[in-house]
Amino acid sequence: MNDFEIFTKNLFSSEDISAFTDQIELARGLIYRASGSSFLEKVAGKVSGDFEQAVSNLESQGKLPKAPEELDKFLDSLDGFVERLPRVKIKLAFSPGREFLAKVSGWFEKELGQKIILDISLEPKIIGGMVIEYKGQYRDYSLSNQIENIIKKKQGNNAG
Amino acid sequence: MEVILIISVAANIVALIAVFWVYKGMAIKVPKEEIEKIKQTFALEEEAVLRQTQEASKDIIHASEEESKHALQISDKFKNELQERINRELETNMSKAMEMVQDTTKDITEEYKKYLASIAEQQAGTLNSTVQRQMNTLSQITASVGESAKEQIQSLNGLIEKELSSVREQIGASVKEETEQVRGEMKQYKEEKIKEIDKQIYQLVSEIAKESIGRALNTSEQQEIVLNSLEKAKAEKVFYE
Repeated sequence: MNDFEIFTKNLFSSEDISAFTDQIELARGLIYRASGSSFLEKVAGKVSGDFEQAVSNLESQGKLPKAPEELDKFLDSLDGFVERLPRVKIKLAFSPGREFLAKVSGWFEKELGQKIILDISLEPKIIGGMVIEYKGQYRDYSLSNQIENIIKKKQGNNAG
Repeated sequence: MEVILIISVAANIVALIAVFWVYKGMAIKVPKEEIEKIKQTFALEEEAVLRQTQEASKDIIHASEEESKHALQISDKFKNELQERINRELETNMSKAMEMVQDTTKDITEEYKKYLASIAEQQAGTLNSTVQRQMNTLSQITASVGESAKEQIQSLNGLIEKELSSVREQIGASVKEETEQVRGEMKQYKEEKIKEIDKQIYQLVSEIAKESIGRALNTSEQQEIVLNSLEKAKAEKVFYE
């Protein structure tokens, strides 16, 4: 796990990324304005728990630069890393909880060997299952599609 | 008579003028006194003569007028008598002329009747024979035309029968073809309708199934299906280039 992955381990969805980007911007602002000798002291209680935890971990390991300009560059690089994370578009019939998102995200990480951000959208019409789009590939694994296929097959059999 | 009367009056006037001029021509030159006396005497005499002349003239005129009146009366009477005679003669002559015209007309009419009767008799004979001839010719023509018409009708009957038979066949074929076409169309329509109904039924079934399944699934089951879908995608190598 590289230094950036400490920050992204709890990021699963596009919403998470968006919120994390906001955290980066907040932290960037604190580099110059906030009082404190370390970066952790500057951001403590002002950023999310995960962000603060990640800063704490890296700082304890001495992996965070101390100079404000260097910290700024670090945050820039972190922002670029997050933005470049591969994404998969998934349509679901229900609103997934964090646990389930973590499970799915873990499944992708395990299967593909890398962090994947889930771009989730809700589509109750699909009834169940999912519709997935990844790197130009599209697959409909929805229950709606499966029901229609069954009906078409039945219809075809009756017509024949 | 009127002319005679006018001439006599004119003659009297001329006579009077002549007497006046005679007296005037007899004047002789004498002394003034004598002349005056003579003039007076003459004047008196002249006056007397004039009076006498006037009297005489009056008498003459009166007599002339009487004569003229008498002559005029005679003339009117004669005229009337003459007119009456002419009228009588005219009536007589007209009556005679009318009788003559009537007689002549009657004679001519009788003669003409006789003449016409004789001509009519002659012509009737001629007409009868002509009519008879023409009737015979007509009868022959009619018979000939009848035969020809009969033949033509028979021929026409045959043709009509043939045409009718052909038309019947054509109609039969056309009806059969149209019936087949309509049957085909009905069959096609029926199939299309059945397909449409089937489609609607399946659509309905699909909607019901989706709704009932969607309601029936809980979160855990939803999640399980998604994870199964991921495995399916993996099996289909969706994530591997």
